[in-house]
Amino acid sequence: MKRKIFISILIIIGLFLLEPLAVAEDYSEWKEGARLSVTAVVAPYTSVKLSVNEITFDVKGEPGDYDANQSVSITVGSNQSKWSVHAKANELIPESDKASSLPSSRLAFSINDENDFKDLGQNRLLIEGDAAKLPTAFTLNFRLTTEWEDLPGTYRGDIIFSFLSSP
Amino acid sequence: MNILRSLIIVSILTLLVVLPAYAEDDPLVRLTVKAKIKSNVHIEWEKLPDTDPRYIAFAKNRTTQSVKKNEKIILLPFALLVKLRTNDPTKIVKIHVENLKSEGGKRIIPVEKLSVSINGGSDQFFIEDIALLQQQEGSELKELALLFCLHTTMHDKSGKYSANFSFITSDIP
Repeated sequence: MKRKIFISILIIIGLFLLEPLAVAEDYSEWKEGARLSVTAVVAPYTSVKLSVNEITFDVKGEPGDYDANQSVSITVGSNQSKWSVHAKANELIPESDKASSLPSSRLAFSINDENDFKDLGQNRLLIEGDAAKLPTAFTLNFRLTTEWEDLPGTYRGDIIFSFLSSP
Repeated sequence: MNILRSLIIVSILTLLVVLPAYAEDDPLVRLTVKAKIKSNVHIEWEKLPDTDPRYIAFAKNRTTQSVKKNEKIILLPFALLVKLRTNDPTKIVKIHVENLKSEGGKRIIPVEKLSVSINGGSDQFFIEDIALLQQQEGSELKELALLFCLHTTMHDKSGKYSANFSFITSDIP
């Protein structure tokens, strides 16, 4: 008899314990148990691509303005809020030590086939944009002005494209 | 404790270094440029008739030459005004003249009897081609007035003679 009473008490206690679980199935009454902090770091991303690595000027006639053998396509993409691409040329150094360098100001560029050439003797703004701007290709045309004082030969140099941005 | 202090200092320095690089991301892209300049010579000439005032002025300024016995000097009735320029210091430009031939080509006056006065200077005979542009003279525009004289003798038959003039360039080895 005592045993039956003990078992009954246990069953009643068990029912009381199960009741809160049933109540907890109502989501509106869920309480925060633990918090997991999530941090996503989006690194600044910049892509400046040129269609070619080298351009050549073939100066076969009298001194004057000569266009490069090909135009250059530049594509810029960035997730930075504001960005700009600048370009500046270095002087063209002759392979022969008898000749003088061609000053960087003799190199000029125009964008998207416009005929307004700007010299690259100083740092020039080429393109500017923002994060919302999809990567777009621009066509750059380059021009070299030669003079009678420029001795025959091969000259080498480069144009540096720099990317400036604010995060 | 010292290690901890060092770590803090290094962290601060790292922040100072990293922050500007982040604020101004500055990748560089390089485009190689090659320029191939060929040797070039500019030769421009104009034939001046003896009625041209410039011809008359050149003829007046010409240095008169002593005439040999039995020789007659005929100033040709035209002058050449030549403009020369090159970007190549190894280039020489010369004027080449062929023998003077009569109409029909039967009679010839050797070119050695022809002389030229350059910018009023003394006559130079066409024993060989005459240099108009010497090496290293190159890049400046050089203007020359050429007056031609034919030194004839009694042996040269009268008639109408003509000759071809040409400009030739050569490299200095």
